[in-house]
Amino acid sequence: MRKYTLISILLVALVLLSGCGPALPEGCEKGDLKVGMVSDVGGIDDASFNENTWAGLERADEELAVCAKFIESQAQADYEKNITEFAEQDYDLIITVGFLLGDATAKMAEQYPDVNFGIIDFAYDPPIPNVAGIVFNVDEASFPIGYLAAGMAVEQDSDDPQVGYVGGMQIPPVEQFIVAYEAGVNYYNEQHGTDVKFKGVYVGDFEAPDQGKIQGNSLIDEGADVIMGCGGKTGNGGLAAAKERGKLGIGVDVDQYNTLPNEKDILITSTMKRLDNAVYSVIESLINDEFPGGGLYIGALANGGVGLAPYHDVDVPEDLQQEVSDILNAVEAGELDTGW
Amino acid sequence: MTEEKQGLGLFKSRIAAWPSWAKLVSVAALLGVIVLVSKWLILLLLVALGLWPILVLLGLGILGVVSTRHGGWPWMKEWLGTKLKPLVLPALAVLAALILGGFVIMLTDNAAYQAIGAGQVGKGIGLAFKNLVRAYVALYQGALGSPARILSAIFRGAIGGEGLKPIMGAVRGPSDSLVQSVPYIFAGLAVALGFRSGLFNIGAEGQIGVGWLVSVIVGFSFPSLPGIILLPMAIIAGALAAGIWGALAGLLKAETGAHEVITTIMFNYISFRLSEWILCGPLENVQGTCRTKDVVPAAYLPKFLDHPVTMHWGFILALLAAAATAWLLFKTTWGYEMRTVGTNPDAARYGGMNVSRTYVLAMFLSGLLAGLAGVSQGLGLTHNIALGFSAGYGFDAIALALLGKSNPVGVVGASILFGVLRAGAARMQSLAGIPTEIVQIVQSLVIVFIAAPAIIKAVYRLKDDGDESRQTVFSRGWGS
Repeated sequence: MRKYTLISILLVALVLLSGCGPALPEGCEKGDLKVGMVSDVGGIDDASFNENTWAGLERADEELAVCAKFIESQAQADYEKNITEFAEQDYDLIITVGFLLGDATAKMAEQYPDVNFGIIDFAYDPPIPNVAGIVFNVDEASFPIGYLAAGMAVEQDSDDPQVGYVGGMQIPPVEQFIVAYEAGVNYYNEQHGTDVKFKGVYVGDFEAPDQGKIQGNSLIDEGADVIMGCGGKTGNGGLAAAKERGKLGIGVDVDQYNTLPNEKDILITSTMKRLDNAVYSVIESLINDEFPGGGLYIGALANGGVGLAPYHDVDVPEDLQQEVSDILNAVEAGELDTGW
Repeated sequence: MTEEKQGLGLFKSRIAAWPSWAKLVSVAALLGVIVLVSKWLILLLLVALGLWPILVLLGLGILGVVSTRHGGWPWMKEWLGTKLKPLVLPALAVLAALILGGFVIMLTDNAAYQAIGAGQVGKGIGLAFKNLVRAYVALYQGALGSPARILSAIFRGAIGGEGLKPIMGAVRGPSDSLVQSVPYIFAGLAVALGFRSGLFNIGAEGQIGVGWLVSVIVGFSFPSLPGIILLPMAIIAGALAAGIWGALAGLLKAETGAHEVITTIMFNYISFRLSEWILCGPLENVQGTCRTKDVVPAAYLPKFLDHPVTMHWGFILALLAAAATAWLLFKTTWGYEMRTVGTNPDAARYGGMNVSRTYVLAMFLSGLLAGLAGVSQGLGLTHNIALGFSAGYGFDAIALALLGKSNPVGVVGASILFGVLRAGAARMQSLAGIPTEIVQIVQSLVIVFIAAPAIIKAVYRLKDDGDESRQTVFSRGWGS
């Protein structure tokens, strides 16, 4: 008898549960702009891409009339389903993170022409009218940092100054950094009549710190004075080698002074790719009816989408700091070619 | 009742008297009609799933009316008892898991801690409880839809003249649940078949990848073939490749005695790393995406309805696979041999069975079933294969096989339960901000409670029938 009672209680509870519906997501108010983010399989706490993007949504949630939510994808087959989930709940803007979702975002954007989409680091060709690609002119920040690195290399070793880089995979988003670094180093040579050399390697992997360290060490053996990490954990391996050998380093993507406690004291600065700022701006543009659908949101120096991290423990000479900030202004004004 | 049975018997014997060609033609005609109206059948199924509480109440009402002719409540109680008995334990296990999961949700609620930290204990507990209710309502509606919404959608569609569109949106939950359960069913069957044959196939995850990859390759390599040839070809190629991948482990066990637990784990690694190379290397379509080309539309497993309902034929294939597995295991000589070898390989050998061949065959079939999980994902949902395709279905499948007591019907039930939980997880995260990991906790608790029925029986003070433990099928472990 007892079990039937239990089962009937369960049944009644379920019927009641299914009857009442939640009108709004938790913490949202009527009239808020609803913004959803679909992560890739890295999850929301990947200390990288997804986390940085979510930081931008969270800031918008706090500061603007925005209600931000996310769904973490557990598998490739989840991407379309999770985007559908937001679209069916009448979200105004759906941010999808990274090239892994390129396919699913395109399909769903076609399905829901009234919903706006933003996708990180991806540009569609031909463009889709309700999708904004969120891309970054990282070369604008890399060029002055290449100049800065060359200056610091001369500081360290005026006889044979060298700048080295440890890259991840050789794909356009990474090459964009490296090409502009090299142009910056060359510009320093032009200005100062020096012969700072620039060399490095693409390891071909973003998740190989040990490989990065080996390559960093061999660059230092060849005389590198500053190592630029550029490629996820692989680049961090290069910075670890610089730390061990008493050389200087330059971080990437975020201010790595805050994310690499072990190597932070050798970091001159970091080339920042501000996913959070970019996403925040895209949300703001939608509120102001200026959403770049069918086009691109380009994170650049001018809008804070890319930039230099502040100087921390490494002493940079005053005049070099001044030169770098002049170059930053010149690049922002379009007076200097970054080589990309 | 007796009259009905005689009528049915008469009907059966009449059909049996038909010539075989007539039987064949009528079966084909029946299948044709089912396929033609499949769209409507599936829609009906989804609506019924969404409206299940109403249907159950309706059923109880009808039963109540019928019972007045048979002596009222005592008869109804007995009837219900016999029908519901096998469901009592799983249902209670799910309930217990949901209650414990609810505690976890409440205990991890930051807003509640803030309120409690500010000295408002009552408000904090209230907040936590409110969020818990919100989370479970979202979980339910994400997985099974909202009956009220479905009813209003039917009303709007039928009378408001808005057609099928509102109904599609309303039955998305049930559809997602069934779609999510498809890979679980295939992979669960794969592991269950292994268990029955005394083999512990941990390699389902890798076999899923192989099946997925090969079916997608076939799907985009022959764009000029018509769907009626290409689709079966892609399915069979994927299944066979995964079967052979699995059979390798069986062969190693049969020929060298290498334990399948070790070899299948190692084959997992081999297939993961190989597919990484293939996806980011030779088969990469656009540089930097680590994804293959899309299969041509002719090779899609057809969807029954329009977006956002993603129900595809993979679900029907999964049910057919379950039926076929049950038939194979319990109605054929091969199945008998497999089960005998699984119970006692020495006795089987003594009885004249070819144990080595049975191992290879069982691992082949197990791999084939697991491969179909990948095939259904590749041809039914993603239409390509990308880095990060693996979602742990193959490992969850071990739990599903145990949960279903290695019985195909049980595996299907357990898989649908997992599909329901997983489909609801996304809604729960987006509406209540509860991480999807909570669902994994609930899934794990369900498994623990079902694996240890004694806990449930003690908690709910059920009588111990003593027949549960005997049903548990366990793979013969190391050194078998």
